[in-house]
Amino acid sequence: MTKITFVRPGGEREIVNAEPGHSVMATAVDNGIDEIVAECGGCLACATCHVYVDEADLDRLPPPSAAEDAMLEATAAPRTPCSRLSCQLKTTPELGDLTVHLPSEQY
Amino acid sequence: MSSTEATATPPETDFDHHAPHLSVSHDEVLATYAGLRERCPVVHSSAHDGFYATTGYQAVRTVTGDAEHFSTAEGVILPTQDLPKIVPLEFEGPEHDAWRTIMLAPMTPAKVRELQPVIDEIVRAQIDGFARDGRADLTAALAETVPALVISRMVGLSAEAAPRMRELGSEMVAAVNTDRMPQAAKEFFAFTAAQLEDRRRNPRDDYLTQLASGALGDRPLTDGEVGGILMSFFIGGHHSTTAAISALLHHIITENGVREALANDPGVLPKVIEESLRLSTPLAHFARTVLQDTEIEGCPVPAGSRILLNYVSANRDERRFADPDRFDLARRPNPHVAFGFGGHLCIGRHLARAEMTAVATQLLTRLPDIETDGEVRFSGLIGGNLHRILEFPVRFTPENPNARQNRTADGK
Repeated sequence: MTKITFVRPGGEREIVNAEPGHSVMATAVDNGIDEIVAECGGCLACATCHVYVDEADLDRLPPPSAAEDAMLEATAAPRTPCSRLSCQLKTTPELGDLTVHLPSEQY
Repeated sequence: MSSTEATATPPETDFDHHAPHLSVSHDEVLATYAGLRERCPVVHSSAHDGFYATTGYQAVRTVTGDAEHFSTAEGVILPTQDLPKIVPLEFEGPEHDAWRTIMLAPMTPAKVRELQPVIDEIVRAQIDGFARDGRADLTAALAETVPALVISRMVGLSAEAAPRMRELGSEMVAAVNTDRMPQAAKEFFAFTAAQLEDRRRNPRDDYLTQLASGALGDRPLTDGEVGGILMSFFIGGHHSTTAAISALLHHIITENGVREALANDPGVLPKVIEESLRLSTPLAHFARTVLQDTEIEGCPVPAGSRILLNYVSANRDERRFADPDRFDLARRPNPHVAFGFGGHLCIGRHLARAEMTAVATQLLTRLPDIETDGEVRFSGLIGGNLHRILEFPVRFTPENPNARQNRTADGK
């Protein structure tokens, strides 16, 4: 099963199993990762599931769509080249394990 | 959701959010909603040519999160009003997204942070207006004035011009559904057109200048469309934020332990704000239209029917929130739907939270012994949608004007 490592702002790591096909956002919400707020439920109307993908994993991910790219302008914590909206990151066996860093604020 | 409800015809009721008895008593509204929640997640009403009404939490999430089956494009007010479409709310698809991008631009978290000193200054000036009096009505003197001034400054008006826009915007919102509306809208649109003309002649670094030269897709925005954007800011953000600010202050002042918790740790304020939004959700109802036959929580709803969402009832649903009528500072997570959910999530929510934060922080710092002074009057459902505090009398030790000079610039 795919493992997602969430790194909290303080450095604490939380490793959870992801259901195949679920988004990183849904995986976080299902596992009580409070740093992922996901106010819009994953339809690209907010930026409150913002994560920083670990640099080692970044290039394995499909690039953000135009809609995700636009909404990333509305993150609460500063946007960096590693910024993604976790509702748009689907976990699959092919993608494998993933490490994402959680921002200190979502709004 | 299929585990809780078998397919069942929604029970027939005579629920009408415009019923006169609901317009006078907040308690009666809450009791009515609680009664509906006991019956089914969705009920049918014979009022207004027939509509379905959600009663529970999950039904709101299901409908607002599913744009394939439920649309805002036929109007979010029930019964349908003869008004121009509210942007971006009453659009769907790419057209909605284009409007939302334009309208979200001045209200992203980053933009709200930039605006914070202006918000702080507006709040400070409003508190200055009554801090030495020992008594005030917090709705009239604070909650009602801040949101419209913030909207006006946010779009780029000067401190001198903002009160005029507040006046025109407030009058227009008050005139909805009255015969004053055409005149109020005309004056508001004339004011905004003059501001746009000024920005075309003297461009500056503000949102009005962006709108004056802005585009929707591949064509320029008309003055009328820009007026519609600004009108939507007032319709969406004026009374709702006023209601949210009053309610927050009321919870802080009257709930056991909240003020003490804030004094011990100001970092608790975000939790207080979210719990206040959950328990005192300003806007109760927006509608959707069913695009194709489907089910909500096991209740079949046919294509073409109208659905009235109930955000207030959702936020008090005992199946989602333990002990839902209690103000609980430890509630975590607190996934209330006061700002809606899904693609039409309120775009002004960051701004609203920033205003609530500024008002609560400054008021408690400057007037720490503030308490209610007589009866606080709550509205019923205003216009079949809004809950607010009408009168909020308070008393406090008057602020010493000499002490004021020692305050730091941000009121802390």
